[in-house]
Amino acid sequence: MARLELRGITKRFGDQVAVAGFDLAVENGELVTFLGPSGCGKTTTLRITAGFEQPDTGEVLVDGQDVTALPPNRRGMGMVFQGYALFPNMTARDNVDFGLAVRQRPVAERRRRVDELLALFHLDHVATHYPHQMSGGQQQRVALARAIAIEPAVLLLDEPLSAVDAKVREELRTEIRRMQVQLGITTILVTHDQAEALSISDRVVVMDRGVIEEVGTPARIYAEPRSAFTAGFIGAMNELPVRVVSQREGLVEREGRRFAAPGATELPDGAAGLLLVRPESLQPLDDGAVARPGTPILRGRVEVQTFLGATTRLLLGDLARTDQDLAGTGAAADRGGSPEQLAVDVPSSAAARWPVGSELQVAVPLASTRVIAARSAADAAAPRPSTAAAPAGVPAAGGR
Amino acid sequence: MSATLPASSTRRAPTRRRGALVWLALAPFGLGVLLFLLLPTLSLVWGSFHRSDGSFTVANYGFLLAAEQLKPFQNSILLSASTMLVGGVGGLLIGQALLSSRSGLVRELGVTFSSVAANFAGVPLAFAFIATLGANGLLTRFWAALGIDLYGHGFTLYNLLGLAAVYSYFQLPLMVLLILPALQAMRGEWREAAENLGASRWYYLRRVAIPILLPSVIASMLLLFANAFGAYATAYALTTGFFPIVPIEISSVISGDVSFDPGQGDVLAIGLAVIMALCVGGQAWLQRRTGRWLER
Amino acid sequence: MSQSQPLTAEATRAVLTIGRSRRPSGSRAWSAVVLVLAVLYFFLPLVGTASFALSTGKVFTLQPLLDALADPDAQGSILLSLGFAVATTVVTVAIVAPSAYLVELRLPRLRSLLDFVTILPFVIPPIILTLGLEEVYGIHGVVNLVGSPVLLIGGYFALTLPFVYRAIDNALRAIDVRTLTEAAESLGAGPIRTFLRIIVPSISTGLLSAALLGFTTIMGEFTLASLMGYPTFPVMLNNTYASAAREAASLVLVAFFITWACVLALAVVSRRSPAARAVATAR
Repeated sequence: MARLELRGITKRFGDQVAVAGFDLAVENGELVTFLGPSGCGKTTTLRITAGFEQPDTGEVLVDGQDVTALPPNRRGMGMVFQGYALFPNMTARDNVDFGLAVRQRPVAERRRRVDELLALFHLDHVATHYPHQMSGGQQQRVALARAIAIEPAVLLLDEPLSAVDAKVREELRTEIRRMQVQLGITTILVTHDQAEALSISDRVVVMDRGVIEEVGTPARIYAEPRSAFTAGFIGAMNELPVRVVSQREGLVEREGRRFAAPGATELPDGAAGLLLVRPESLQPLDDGAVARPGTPILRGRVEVQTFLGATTRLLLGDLARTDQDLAGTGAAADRGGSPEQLAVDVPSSAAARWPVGSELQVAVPLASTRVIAARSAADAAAPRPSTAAAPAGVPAAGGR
Repeated sequence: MSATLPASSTRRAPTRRRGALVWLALAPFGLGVLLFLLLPTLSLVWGSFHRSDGSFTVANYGFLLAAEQLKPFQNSILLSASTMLVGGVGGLLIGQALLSSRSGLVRELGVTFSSVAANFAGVPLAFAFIATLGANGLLTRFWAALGIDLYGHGFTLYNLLGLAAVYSYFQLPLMVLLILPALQAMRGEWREAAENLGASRWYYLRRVAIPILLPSVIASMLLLFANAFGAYATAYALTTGFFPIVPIEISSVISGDVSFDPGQGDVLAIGLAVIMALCVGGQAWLQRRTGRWLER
Repeated sequence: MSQSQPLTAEATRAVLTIGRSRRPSGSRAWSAVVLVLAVLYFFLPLVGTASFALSTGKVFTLQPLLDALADPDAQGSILLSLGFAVATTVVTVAIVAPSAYLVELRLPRLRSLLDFVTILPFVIPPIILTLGLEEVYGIHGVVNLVGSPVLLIGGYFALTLPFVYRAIDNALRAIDVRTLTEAAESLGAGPIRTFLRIIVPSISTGLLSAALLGFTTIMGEFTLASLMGYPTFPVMLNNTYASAAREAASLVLVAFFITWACVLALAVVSRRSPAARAVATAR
């Protein structure tokens, strides 16, 4: 159990910047996940923490002590490698025992501890098996047990579930979390799988291209992403270009209509912004249904239906907006014919109501939206539903 | 497969005729193997059990154990064992050095050099060494200019030691080629995992790296042994055919040397073949075992 | 020697996929020393040969080499070796390729038999095979083929079988033979056309590798040729050394460069094969 601090970590490979200005404090017993696409620097940061790479600048501190200069075999951290890296010439038992043997603990103590760990991870029946005789899930648990055997201050997991079957992955990640909580080990997990990150972490560090985009609890970064990258990376997100007209009042404007949305008060007047709304937050309106006054309504034609299990995602094109609220101006819906699209999640049982080609109106509940600064000029052009993976817990379309 | 297809205008020949066609297509291969591989081998086996008058005997095998015959086998074993060790250790070190080089070019050049050197064995190699370390060779004269008389001190290319020196030229690179796959299969992650668990470099070598590599190293050395044991051309060119090792003894039978019964020559050949078979078999068995270890 | 041929190709392919491995700087210095020593060791005999063949005292001249190449015996033997090498290579590849294809496709049970048969020549080195061939086809043999090219080609077929088969078999395994054949047949192609137009181009680099391996082996083969009395290049080289050492030594250099050229060609061919790359990276 220890407090881990990474201060000002920077690392370059040639002229490639792998990590820049990384600052993070991980509290005692916390499980923090580094989440991001390939090449974002998460594994490099982990390896720097473990000691397999030296940072160009910055320090690694464990309980206040600077360990940056220590070699990996003296840092007291346990690491689980992406491919498990079990020693092929040793049984499960010998693998788990390795760190203890290095420290030359008394044989009786070693045997007791190994037995304890094998039991904890349900590995008793493969104790005398070699790695090539074990399944991926068993190998992974041996790797975990081996890392924990030495009672490390910090546990480092490098994409521990990437080589495991999808079915086993869910079970294993729950088990990892359960074990981590039970033992109270400060843990860093590196992954590109957001379902994994969101489901078991205390906090998530979203990274892109070597820098930290955001840090927060899974719930917060899912519901209220602060950066465009995070919004696009975590779950599916609709992004509608808007322009801030009044920071003081928190008003934004889109296609001549104005409304107040959360987050607008943090952007300057005139700024280009993105209105973020999750597909599951949009409310489809049946004929005759009426939205609450003041709620913008969008109308579109269903172009694609994607079955996701419990929900079905409708992709709407041909967007237009009607505004039942602004009485008197009587603006009829105008069809823009622009390439905008909107993703709307509906319960699969109801999806038949809106087959492909049909028209659908959705209400946009402003309270569930958020305005953030647009990424670049390109974003101000066409809104698009993010193409990120389906939200946690929902099987991918088509199944694998 | 064709039995389940519906009849159509593009129906192929019925299975039975197709089967016959396949066997026909394989005939040249079978014939080649039969005539030029199996028959000679069978002839050797048959000949080893028969006297020159055609009567059956096992006395030929007894001849193998006679004193005069032990000498060539002794020499061959000594030669093969020594070059197996020198080549084995040296090749391992060179292979490891190649892999730790950061430059891909060095590695590729190294593999190319090794392939060339391993294939260079035979007459050209023998003469290259004579030109270098023979009585008038470049190196010999070089050392002489420095005041060291190699031949005066008893060194010669034309004894077992000299042969071993020459054989090493192709044994070393052969080992490099053989051991590279195994060295590559060593994953850097194992060393890192060991380090992470507190092991020193030496501890890792002792408890992980060497145990993993050992079967491959032994398997490769077995092949090196077989390679040296069966080598003929190099020794012949170097010693003009007068050195008592098994391949040269066999060749003297072919050349019509009357001191051997043809049957006895066959026995020598069979003996040689058995040794080769043991080496190759041992190597195959070891490789299969390690293969299972190293697969994920 | 015969065992090293297939390793050339495999090692070359394997080298292409070497990943990054970090090593402490101390061991890198040691590695550099080892490599420098190795390079010295391997080039010395060549330097020795070159100096013996091409220089008198301080003067460097190509004359002995030119004399050697001008000699009709030398030319004859080189041509003979070339002839045998090409003939055997063509015959062997032409026989082995369809056979390997058919076994892979239709008679997978024969696969282990084939593996065994092609391992045999490893266990039966040239010297033993020569004795056997002499007994069956020699002067006192069942059929007297002494002096006939058939004997040497047949013998070389047996000798090169292991690596030619292995190179072709590897290439076949890297492509999905069954699916390709079925696709061709479903479009109406007969077995011969399928083989010639579909399979052969798909394994062309494997065939090329096999041919190169066979070619190098036969160009340098001494045992069978000398004991059966064929004046091929290595045999002539051996004979000449006694009488015209310097000319012979310069021809040694030629032999070396031929080997080098073949190995380089093999490396280039292996590298360009997408199948080889697929095999290497899949490992």
